[in-house]
Amino acid sequence: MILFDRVTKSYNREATALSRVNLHIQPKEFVSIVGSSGAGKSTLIKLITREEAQTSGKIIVAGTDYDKLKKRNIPHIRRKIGVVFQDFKLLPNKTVFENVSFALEIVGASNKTIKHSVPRVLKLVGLSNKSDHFPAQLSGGERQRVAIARAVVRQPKILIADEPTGNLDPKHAWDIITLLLKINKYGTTVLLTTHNQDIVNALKRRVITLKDGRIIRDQEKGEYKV
Amino acid sequence: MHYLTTLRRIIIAGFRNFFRNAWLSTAATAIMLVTLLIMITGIIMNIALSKEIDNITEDIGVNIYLLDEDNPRLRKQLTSQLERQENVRSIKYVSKQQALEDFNKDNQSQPEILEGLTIANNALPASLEVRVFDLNEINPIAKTAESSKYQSIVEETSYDNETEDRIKTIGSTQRFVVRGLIAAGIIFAGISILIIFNTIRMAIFTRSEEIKIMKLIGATNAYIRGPFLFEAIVYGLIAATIALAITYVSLAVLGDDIGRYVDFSTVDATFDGYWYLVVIGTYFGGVGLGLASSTLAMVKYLKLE
Repeated sequence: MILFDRVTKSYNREATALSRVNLHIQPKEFVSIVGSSGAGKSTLIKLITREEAQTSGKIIVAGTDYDKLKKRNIPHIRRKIGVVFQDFKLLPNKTVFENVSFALEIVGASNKTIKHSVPRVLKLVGLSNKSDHFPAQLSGGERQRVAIARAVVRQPKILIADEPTGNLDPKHAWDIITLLLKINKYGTTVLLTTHNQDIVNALKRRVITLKDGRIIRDQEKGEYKV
Repeated sequence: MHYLTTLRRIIIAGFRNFFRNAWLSTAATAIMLVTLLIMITGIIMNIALSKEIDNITEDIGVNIYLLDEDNPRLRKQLTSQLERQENVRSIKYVSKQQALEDFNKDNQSQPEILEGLTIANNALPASLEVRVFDLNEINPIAKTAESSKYQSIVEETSYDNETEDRIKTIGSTQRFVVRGLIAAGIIFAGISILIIFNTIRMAIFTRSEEIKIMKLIGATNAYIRGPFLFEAIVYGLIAATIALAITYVSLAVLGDDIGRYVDFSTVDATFDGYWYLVVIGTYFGGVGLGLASSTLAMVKYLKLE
């Protein structure tokens, strides 16, 4: 599903964010990517979502070789990837329903599809009763669930959760992780980046540890050792 | 179907942008309206004054007065030689008798002038009335008529200086007015572009977070840019519609008054016969101005790569 072959990302001669990273993530896997700040987690994600291009090496995501990906086709690859951010990135002037339907609107989904899909995904994240609320009226955990609903409403092949629990208390953090596991169970490949040692260690799933732009550990049922 | 749905959403988003910055949108539309009105007025003035000049030019030309000793063969030769000149519009032969009849007709109200003038002592000469296209190019005609070849039939050539002066005055007024309107049109077009540019820039800043999110979740560049282009199209459509309405009402209400000073028949004819061109041109101008400004703002402030 995701293949990195000797991928390096340098911003200039002094600053190398990722250095010769090799990575292979299978479909339907649940992978945690851990590491301290500046380890290269965010860069890795930006390379997958093609917000940035690698300096060298090869990246293949969902069957698309990024070396052959034309600029005009970048939106199409992003539609195969759902992304959840630490700061939620919800639109404050849109309701919960509108924030989720927004992801379908931009790809030209019909109103019928929107009316059918959005309530289903809001039910999945447990927010059926808050579809008319605005983000400001929700708790942090609820906002993150809206963000997850928006990310999965198009049924992406890959879901990237970039520090999704960073702004949440432990209870809400676990709610989000449980939701991600549920989505993974339905067949979506999930990539979770986090600082939260307890969560990673409790998950007992694959853990990739980054340090100074390199993969220093890649374990099935791994642990996050600081 | 998919494209129609997307287009509909782009249009709705464009309208939302328009109303979100209502004051700026109104200012942008108003200034575009002024620009379009100046352009339409310029076109109307140009048509009306050109027609006025044309009308006067039609009435004057060179009169070649002929000697009483007529030589029809030589007169025909002179006529055909003049007809070959590009500047000659028409040539009319006025006989002595015709000249007298015309004179009598023109002076019916002043019998004392007519008293001494009878067919028997008709002092009026026969003439060739030459009408021209361009009064500034009149010399070759006079030169031909006054050449030694036609000395035996031509008494003298003359043309009406007063009318020529009037034409020159109208001509220079036309040039002044049209140039002034073109300059004003360019200035106001510039102001329109600046204001719309600024309005779209504000809309881009207001929606910057939304644009960022749209990009991240897979919106195409066209989907992101579309509403800003459509917003500018809305300015153009509204301004053009109001400009056309004002023009229509003004022509209907003021047309007769203006008609007393200049020949307005061509303006009426142009607007009657080519109203669709006027409508298309005005909408094209408005939408074009809007699109140009919006595109400039997006090139500068909406970086999608």
